[in-house]
Amino acid sequence: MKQAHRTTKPSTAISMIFLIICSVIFIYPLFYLIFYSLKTNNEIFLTNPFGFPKDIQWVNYVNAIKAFDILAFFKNSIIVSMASIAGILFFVLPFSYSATRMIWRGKTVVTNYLTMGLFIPIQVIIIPLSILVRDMHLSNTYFALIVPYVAFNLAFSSMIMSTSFAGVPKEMEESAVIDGAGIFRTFVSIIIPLVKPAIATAVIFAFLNVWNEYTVASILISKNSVKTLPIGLANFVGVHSTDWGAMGACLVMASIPTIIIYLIFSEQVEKAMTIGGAVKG
Amino acid sequence: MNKVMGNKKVIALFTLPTVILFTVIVFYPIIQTVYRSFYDWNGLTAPIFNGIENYKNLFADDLFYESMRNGIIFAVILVVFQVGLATVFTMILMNPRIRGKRFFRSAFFIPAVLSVTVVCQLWGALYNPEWGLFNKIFEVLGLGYRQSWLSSLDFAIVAIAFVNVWQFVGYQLCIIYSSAKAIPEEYMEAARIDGASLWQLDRYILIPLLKDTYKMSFIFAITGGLNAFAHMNILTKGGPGTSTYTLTYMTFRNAFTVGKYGYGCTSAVLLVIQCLAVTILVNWLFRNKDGAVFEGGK
Amino acid sequence: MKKSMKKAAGMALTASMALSLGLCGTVYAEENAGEIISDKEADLTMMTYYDGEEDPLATFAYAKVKESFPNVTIEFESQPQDGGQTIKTRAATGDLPDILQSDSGTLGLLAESGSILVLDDYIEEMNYTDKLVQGAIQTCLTSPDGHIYEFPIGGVSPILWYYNKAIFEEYGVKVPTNYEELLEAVTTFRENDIVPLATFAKEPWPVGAIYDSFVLKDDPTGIYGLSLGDASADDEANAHAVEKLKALIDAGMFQDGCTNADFDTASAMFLEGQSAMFINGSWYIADAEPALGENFGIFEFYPTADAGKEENNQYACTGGGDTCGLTITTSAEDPDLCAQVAATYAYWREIAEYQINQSVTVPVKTDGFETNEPLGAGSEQLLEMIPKLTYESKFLHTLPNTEFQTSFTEEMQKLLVGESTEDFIANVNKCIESTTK
Repeated sequence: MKQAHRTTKPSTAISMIFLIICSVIFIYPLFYLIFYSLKTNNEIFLTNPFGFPKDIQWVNYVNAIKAFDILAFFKNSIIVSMASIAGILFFVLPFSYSATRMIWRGKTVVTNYLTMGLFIPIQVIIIPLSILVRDMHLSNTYFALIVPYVAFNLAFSSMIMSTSFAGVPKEMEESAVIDGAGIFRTFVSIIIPLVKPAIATAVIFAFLNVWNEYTVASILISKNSVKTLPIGLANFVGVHSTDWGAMGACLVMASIPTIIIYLIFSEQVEKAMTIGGAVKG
Repeated sequence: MNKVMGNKKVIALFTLPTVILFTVIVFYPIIQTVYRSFYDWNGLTAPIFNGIENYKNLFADDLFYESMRNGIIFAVILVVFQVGLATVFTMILMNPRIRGKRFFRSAFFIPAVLSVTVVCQLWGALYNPEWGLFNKIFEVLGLGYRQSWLSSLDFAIVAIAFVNVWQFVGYQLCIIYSSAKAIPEEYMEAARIDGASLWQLDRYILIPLLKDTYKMSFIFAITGGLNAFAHMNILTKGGPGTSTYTLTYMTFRNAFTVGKYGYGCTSAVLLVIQCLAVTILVNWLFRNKDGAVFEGGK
Repeated sequence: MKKSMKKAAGMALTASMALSLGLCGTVYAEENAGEIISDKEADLTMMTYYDGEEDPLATFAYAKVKESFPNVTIEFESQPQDGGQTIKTRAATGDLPDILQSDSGTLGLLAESGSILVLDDYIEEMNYTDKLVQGAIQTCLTSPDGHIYEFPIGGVSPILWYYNKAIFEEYGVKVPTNYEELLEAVTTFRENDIVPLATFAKEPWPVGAIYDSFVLKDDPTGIYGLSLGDASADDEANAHAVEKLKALIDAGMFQDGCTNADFDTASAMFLEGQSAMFINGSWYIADAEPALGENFGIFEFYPTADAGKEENNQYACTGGGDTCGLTITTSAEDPDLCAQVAATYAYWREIAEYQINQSVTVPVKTDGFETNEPLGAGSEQLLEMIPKLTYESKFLHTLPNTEFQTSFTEEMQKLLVGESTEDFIANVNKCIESTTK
């Protein structure tokens, strides 16, 4: 113990300095984006790409809001993201539970089969996927996005959930079953609360994926009333030059929900971690 | 107990919806892609079956090897630097003396929260050879060194890989750190009492216990590198020339820009095969000897 | 084209008839505009490149559509710049908008697959060619298969070399008229830390334009000839052009990182006075002249010929016309109405392009219309140049050989960042061989 104390002190200081330098490097882009949203094109590209705007261009925000119905796009993005996340959890939680803890043959095969979803570049299958969505009569509805988003996030989310389910001690189920609880009750009221941090992690990742998704949304949705935010942004590509400042303003506004979601759920990760530790102990 | 946990109906109910959804929406289009890779087809007019002609052409196509090489470079950089950096951060953050952990974790996650467009805009400016920050730093330091980061035939792919490293370190950190935090305190405490240094703690307790997590991290990093697309699409459009092509980019080019959809499917199939092989390999390398590790920890 | 000539001859025979027809044509443009053409009720969808509803040209054209079709509403969509991915995928699923802006990059494929309508009859019924200038009828209207698929947007635009007079004066550099002088200018600018010519070689067509600027002096078919397999990268004209270009690249003609620069970055360098020259289409005059004012200059001809051979293909020009415009897709429920609406929209959009952006290369006749501001010196100069310019090459992105377009862009980028001329020539020839057999 004593030895450990002595050796950690200088290294702790070095570690702190290292973390502080890194965090500056990692936080800077947020400021970069905010400055960017308040500059003219020439400042962005040439005269002052990195610093504080010389002559603050609030007009970029006015243009951004005027350029398209940002609220409607926001609403669509929120509906699609929320529904997708609900869908992902609905499918993934029981699946990962059964694939890690229940006893059946072919688990590994099925799990490996699902990992394919991790590395299928969407550009590769976009034509067959579009035809499929049309044949399912989902074109130009929220489901045209929600269904593919859920399906494409199954692999990633179930991997995160599986690692977590695997760590739950066997005794948890055993005692519940001995108490006479059925499998559903055990699953819902005993196991799920134990894996909250993993759920929070999965939600953060899924939200970021869905919220920023562009390719599928640009191709499967042609009706303005269903379009999501990243598609709205495409409006800024101009004939001869693009209004980058206004685009930056949109990006700032579009980033707010992702930051909020991150802060809420990372709090959950933190909180649940300590509880999880206690339960395990 | 086994009776409950082996209940076939429950297993089916829990598993089948996911498998069915995945099969219809993800797997079926993949099969379509494989099928189309045997056709001469522009995506719109009637396809013409041409057997393995596309595959023959692919294996004779320099671009295929260049794309594959770039994918491997990208994957190696992601594994070494992204997973590596996330591990270093985790180790430091596991040190109970470090303050402001929440702040640091959130800070490292910020680039991942911003969209790829923003991040690429920033890095494009940083890398700019005329007035970008990196060349400015060399100038200020009085070094005669200049680099056309994104316009160098050899270096551009590395430069782009580092943008990805930087943007998604937060993802890896989030995964590794939360698994590390979930390790029961006793393991660590026991080792500390035995007089283990922090480094020993990390090396012999923490990392081995995170095996499953690392398996996942490696698969993400490697497959993410092999099928990289978004960053080069914005930063260099595959250029200069073809020097930042990956298989996904090659597929995209052939299927849409050139209009040879069938041929595009061929490189896509090869990409899927590669990624599958990597997944199986990583799974095998990290095959479960968990029990033993846990015993050792105790 | 032949068809319209015949028609004109026929009209000349019956003078009175010709007179009334001719009147109809011109009257329509000026006074008939506000008249209701159809009061059908319809919600149409239209996908254009950039316009969106906020674009002043689109707003103007839409207002004109509203005057003639009071019960038609249009929902606009912008086409993402993604190498045709969106359009091709949506065509594959039959999910195209009613009216779609297209150019030769996708138009041929859409026509071949039956995704867009043949407009020959509509063009004839509406006498739409009466509204078009001769150059547009010749080069912007008819596709290689002999049919018309679009109401033209964008006319015959030359690609020009621009320069900043102030920078040339400051360093005492003569505005070059031939290759030797150009090389000297480049060297002088580099010595003074001025970028001689900023370019945006991340996009395909500028690299085609750069290459063409050199090869046209000896072979006026330029990259078009290469893409057809009629020329070869190691024939005399092309090899000589590559050699000159390579010498200029080595002398530092383009900015570092040019293969990675997009239009906004490169243009900012020129407009901010960091770059002495710039290459872009004639539409750029509307952007650059207000920004540079009196310092804005246009080269009479490309300064790329060998000294003493300046008059060789002196006005051979790259760029030109393309079959770009509004097409009617087969998913349109009421094609007749869509064709009328598209014709009205395309016409007034181009009129607005003339009035608002002072573009003197629009495909529609602008007689009787005034530009909102008096024409700038640049546009006046362009008007004088237009009759002299000849086009035998094409924009790189409108070449029918799409694989050549893509490979050629890739090879040019490599040349720009230091590939040897031997490798460049060998690779381009390989690509010609594999795509033209």
